[in-house]
Amino acid sequence: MEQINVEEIMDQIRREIKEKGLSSEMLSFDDISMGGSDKGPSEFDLAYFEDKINQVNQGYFVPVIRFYSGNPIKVLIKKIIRKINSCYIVPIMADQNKYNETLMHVANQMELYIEQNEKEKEALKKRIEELEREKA
Amino acid sequence: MRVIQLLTTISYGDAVGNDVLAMDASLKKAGYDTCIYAENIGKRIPSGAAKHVSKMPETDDGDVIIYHLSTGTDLNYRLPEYRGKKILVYHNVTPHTYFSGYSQIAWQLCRDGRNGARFLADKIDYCLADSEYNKEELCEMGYRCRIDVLPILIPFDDYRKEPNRKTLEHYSNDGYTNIIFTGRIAPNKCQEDVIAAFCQYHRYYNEKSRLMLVGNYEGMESYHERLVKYAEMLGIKESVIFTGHIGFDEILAYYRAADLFLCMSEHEGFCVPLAEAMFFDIPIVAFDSSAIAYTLGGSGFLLKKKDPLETAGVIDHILKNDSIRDSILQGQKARLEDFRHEVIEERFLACLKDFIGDDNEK
Repeated sequence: MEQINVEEIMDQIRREIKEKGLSSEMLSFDDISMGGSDKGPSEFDLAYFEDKINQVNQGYFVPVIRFYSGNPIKVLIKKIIRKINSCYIVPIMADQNKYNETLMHVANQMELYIEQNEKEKEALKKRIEELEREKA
Repeated sequence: MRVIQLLTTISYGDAVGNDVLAMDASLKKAGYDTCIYAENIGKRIPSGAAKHVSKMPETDDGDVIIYHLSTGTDLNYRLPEYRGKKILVYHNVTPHTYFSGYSQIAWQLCRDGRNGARFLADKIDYCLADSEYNKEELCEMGYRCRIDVLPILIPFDDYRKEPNRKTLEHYSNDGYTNIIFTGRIAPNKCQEDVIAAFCQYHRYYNEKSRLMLVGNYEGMESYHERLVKYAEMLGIKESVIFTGHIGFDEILAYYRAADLFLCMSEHEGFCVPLAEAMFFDIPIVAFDSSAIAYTLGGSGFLLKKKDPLETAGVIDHILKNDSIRDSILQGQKARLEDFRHEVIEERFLACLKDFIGDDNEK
């Protein structure tokens, strides 16, 4: 059975891509919004909360420029419309991102507050257990 | 001595369900007194094949419980209460972070599943892991008992059944190249990366191509919606087929119509679809993650990084180059021999006999 040389094939493919001038630019899956169907748990869940804070930290900044793909004429029209609207859209996006950043800081502070409280709670619990043991 | 298989849910057609039923048949053939007990029994499980866990008789120290772990359940924490020797069959639990933002239920079940697996680390006598990757995970979780690797028992005879004629005729011999990926629509399987690579292939190499994503999206509707939107925004909506939940004969038809199997999954405990693609003689291109390399065993074409354009180049290269395609298929055929039912069945029974023998000597 002939073994295939994966690296050799990959090198050849990369050379061909370069020679043909193919572009790797494309719309990222990250640019597709997740939608809001996940309602979350009905009670406070610390791990869920931390996971959402993580998502906020990763996703608070919304880029103004998006990559367009598909029909070249449609892409051109979209770019022209974007250019025309930029004097209106860009300042609004800047304000929105500033607000998002503020909320992100608030969320992070809340997380720190909860962490601190949890530590104090644990320390108090231990102290109560010690006192109960001493009493006994 | 009884050998009891225990698990939370047994469903017809999924990898764990197939494994349990196949083990049951093997155990009965070898003369063991055996039964399957589960908390949830799928409607299509043959009547009498499994009983509800509430009907499980009290076990004694001489019995063997084979516990299949693949998700979160209270059963993970109740297992130590049952008397008898315990064998864990670890099918892996998807890391919960993949479901963040898509499904709170899946997120919680997976998180609880991994916590449950960790809880059982010092309460199990012997482990069977579907892959080396699963074995390594068990070691990382603190398992110190003997762990053997035993691939999933796959019902290859079922794949010889008649495919759905209508589906097969619709997608075959029309001059189109069919790229396939089978598996539940789930974030850990990264169908978005399959779509991205297909997009580049469709755009730069072959406009007469289609991508068939064969898999159920129940419970993952928001992820599925996002994938559909992605395909639409890329301008390839008409070339990407989301089959959703379909009958087995239709799955067979999609496999038979496929020209190449593309897997970009980031987490798999074994990945039965790879063995299926090998069975149907479809060259495999797969991203090297989790158990993928183990299951391929040196066959297929393993990608070290996810680059949609390079992956598209690989697809084109394989499909246009007969000698490379044939080499890949030869390698896959050889690897498939390791998953033959008789081979795995023999190993399973030998492992069990060894374990019972070892334990009796102790």
